[in-house]
Amino acid sequence: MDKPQLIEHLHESLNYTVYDTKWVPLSAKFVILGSKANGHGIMDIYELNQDKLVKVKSVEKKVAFKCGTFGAASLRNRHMAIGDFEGRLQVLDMEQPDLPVYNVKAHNGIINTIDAIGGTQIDCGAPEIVTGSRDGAVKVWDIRQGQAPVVDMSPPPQMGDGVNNSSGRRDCWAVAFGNTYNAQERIVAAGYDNGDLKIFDLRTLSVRWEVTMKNGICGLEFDRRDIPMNKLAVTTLEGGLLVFDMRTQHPTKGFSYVEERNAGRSVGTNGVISGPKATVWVVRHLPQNRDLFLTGGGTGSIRLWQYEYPDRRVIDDSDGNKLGVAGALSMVSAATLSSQPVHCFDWHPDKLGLAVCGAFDQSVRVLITTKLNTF
Amino acid sequence: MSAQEKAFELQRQVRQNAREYENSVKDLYSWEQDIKIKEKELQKSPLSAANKDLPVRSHVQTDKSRKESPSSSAASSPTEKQDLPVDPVAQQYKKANDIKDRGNTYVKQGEYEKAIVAYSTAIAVYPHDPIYHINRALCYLKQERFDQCVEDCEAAIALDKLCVKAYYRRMQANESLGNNMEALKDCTTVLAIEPKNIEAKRSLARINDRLRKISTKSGPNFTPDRPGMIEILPIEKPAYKRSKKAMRSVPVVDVVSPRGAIDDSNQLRISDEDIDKIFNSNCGIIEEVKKTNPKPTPTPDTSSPPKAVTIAESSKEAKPAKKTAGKEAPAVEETHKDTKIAPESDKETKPSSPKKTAVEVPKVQTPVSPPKTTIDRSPEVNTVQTEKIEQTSSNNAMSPSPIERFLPPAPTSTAQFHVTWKELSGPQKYQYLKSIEVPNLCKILGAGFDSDTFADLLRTIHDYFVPNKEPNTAAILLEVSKNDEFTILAMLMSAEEKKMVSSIFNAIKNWPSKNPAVLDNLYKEYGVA
Repeated sequence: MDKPQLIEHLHESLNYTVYDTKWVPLSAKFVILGSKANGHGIMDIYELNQDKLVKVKSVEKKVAFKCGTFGAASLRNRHMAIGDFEGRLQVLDMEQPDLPVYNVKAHNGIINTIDAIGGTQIDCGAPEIVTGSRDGAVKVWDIRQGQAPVVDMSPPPQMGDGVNNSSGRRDCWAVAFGNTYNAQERIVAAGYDNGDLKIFDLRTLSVRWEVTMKNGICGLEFDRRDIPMNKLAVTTLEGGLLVFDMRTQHPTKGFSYVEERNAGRSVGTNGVISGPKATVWVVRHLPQNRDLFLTGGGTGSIRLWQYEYPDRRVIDDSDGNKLGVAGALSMVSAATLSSQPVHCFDWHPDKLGLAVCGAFDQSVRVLITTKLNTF
Repeated sequence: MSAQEKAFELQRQVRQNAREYENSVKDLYSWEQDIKIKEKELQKSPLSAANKDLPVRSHVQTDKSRKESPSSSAASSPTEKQDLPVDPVAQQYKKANDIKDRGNTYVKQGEYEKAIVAYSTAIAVYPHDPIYHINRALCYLKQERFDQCVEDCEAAIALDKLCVKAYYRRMQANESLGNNMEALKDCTTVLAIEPKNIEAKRSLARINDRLRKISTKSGPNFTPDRPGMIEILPIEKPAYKRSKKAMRSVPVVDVVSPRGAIDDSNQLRISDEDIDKIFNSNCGIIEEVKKTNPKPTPTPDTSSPPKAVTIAESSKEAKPAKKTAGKEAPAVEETHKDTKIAPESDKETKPSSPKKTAVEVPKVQTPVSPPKTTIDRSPEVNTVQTEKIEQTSSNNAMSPSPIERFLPPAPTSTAQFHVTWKELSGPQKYQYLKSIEVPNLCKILGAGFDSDTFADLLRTIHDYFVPNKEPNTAAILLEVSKNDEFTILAMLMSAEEKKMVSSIFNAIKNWPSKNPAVLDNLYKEYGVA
């Protein structure tokens, strides 16, 4: 009755494949990154204008864009960090997008995923960009420091002469920053195609924890990045959705989690779950309420979830070690938007319930979610 | 009613949703206006001051400026500091790698001279990485400076023993230099490190081919290969797998060469008698004459070896021999007289043919008697004398053979018994039978126990056991009766044999150490009253 509803407000069909959509902070504009049929990268900026979308700007580059973020940008200078298909990381100024502010050949393969921190929204620590690539490397960049990455978390180099050293490496599909509660602490979570989840501690420059899932990891996000890490949502192939309680790390069991195996399947009119075990492509926490998050699935459906904390988040096990207790997941609402996977989604940081999402049917949608204020 | 309610509820829901959506959209529009104004303000405001107006971003901006102020470099952030290679060795390594990368681009462009210079600098800066050596080796290889290539590969191998590329490139260089054996070694090393390396496998085949060609062209094989020749290649085995046994020299014999004169004296000699016996051919008179040979010494044991005697001699002595034989075994004579067999002369004129005897003396033999034994039997039935002669003749038959036949050891199996038994003379049979332990007898006789053996057995007991008053005679008879074949053999006993049995029993009865129960049992078993 008073469930939140996910309503498609505006719909824009495009003539290129969408790879990422992001709101420009403190504006009614969003950016679409994509790849044209000829392999060129395209960046379009659209603005909401009542009941229609207005294209403000369009930039085309030689190489297809894969992902982008405003995480490291200040509000005044809207710098978007973009990763492309050839492993190049560039930071573009939205006002003058022709000439990149920062440009580096970051990886040997396509940059699959990007995340940034230290900009507008998060006020702790240095502005940094993390990229994950098909070459298996996860690299942290600071645009103030030349052409070399700040931290390079590559798999151990293999014997070779630099020509064919990408064989046998894992493909990094997802990265996320977290745990940035002071100037020193920072954590990068990385998910790989073989189901590996690695938690890198940037302060100690070590692997804090690693675990292997059943399926490749497509999406990662910490619920809040500016607090000691609390929850980490992970989505995988074959419809897996896991939420880790990141507060308590058991010496042997690591972090405890709650798992939902049907998150990728479509939900029918009567709440009947049907369809194949589709990939869950993306997970995004609502910026205004981090117990709510949305997942975008391979069947073109999106689902809104609520995480309920357990009565006690920590228990002592028989050895006297502290063991975290995972909460429960409940689906709040669901909607099917497209016949193709919804693979990118972005909540507006300033307006509750406003979101933009892209799907592989070459279109972007602006969504309004009602009654989110009731939670 | 409920349906109406439901419909109403649904309508209400739809309307509510629509209203809510409307409200949301209105809200959104107003927000859009607001945000656009804000945005414009933001654009107008100067860069430095922009943060102060907006609470969300102020921190970041100050944070940034604060961080950039203490040191001009970006090293102020904690992670950056750690990344800088503080270690001079690491810095050198990095520098060398940069130089190497330059070299790699030269290689791609085909400018090997420049690449070699770059790699050499890299080696000078950081000499501990085999990659520079391998890459330079590749350049040398392309420039056909094979000796230098080999040197570089060796340097790389010294740094990294498992450097596959170094081995592979040394193999290529060695191949080009014509050091095929060296190349082969390197190739096998590559395959040992990387067994799935297809290129190396191909190279191995190629090198092997070439080695074979060379060896056939100018090697030790001057003659062309014979078809079907098997090539035996040396096998490389690690030390721990090699045999610990001392080497021994094996004389190599040419199989094709003609056979040398073999010493005939060592060859097995088969006496004529044995051959006759085996082939069942009756040589008639000559044999008869020969049989008389031992008659001057009629002792049953083989202690006096008969020498080659002329036929004339033997014929002379034939008669007294017959007489002595008759005296020696009166019981035998008796039985033979009782059976009333055809006169002596009759038989002697006709060379004894086994078939005829079988017909003429139907009760002596069962029709299924094996032909081998009939040769023994035929003289037996001829006359009383020949019976005895046969006994000794079996003794005699052995005499010509170079080695005297001794009493064989007690048999352990049925087959052994039957084979041996047939070869033995009467007294030997006695000894032989005595040597067998009574409880084993039944088993040893086994399934091959036939009427001939049975008759022989009875005769042996009758002739030797009874006169010697062997205490275990009854036990032997009893044991024989336990054989599976016995029942049928007992039924088919000839009159002569029955006589023998009853005479044996009569003799046993009179012995002091008799067991009436056993005797009764024997009577029953043998069916003799």
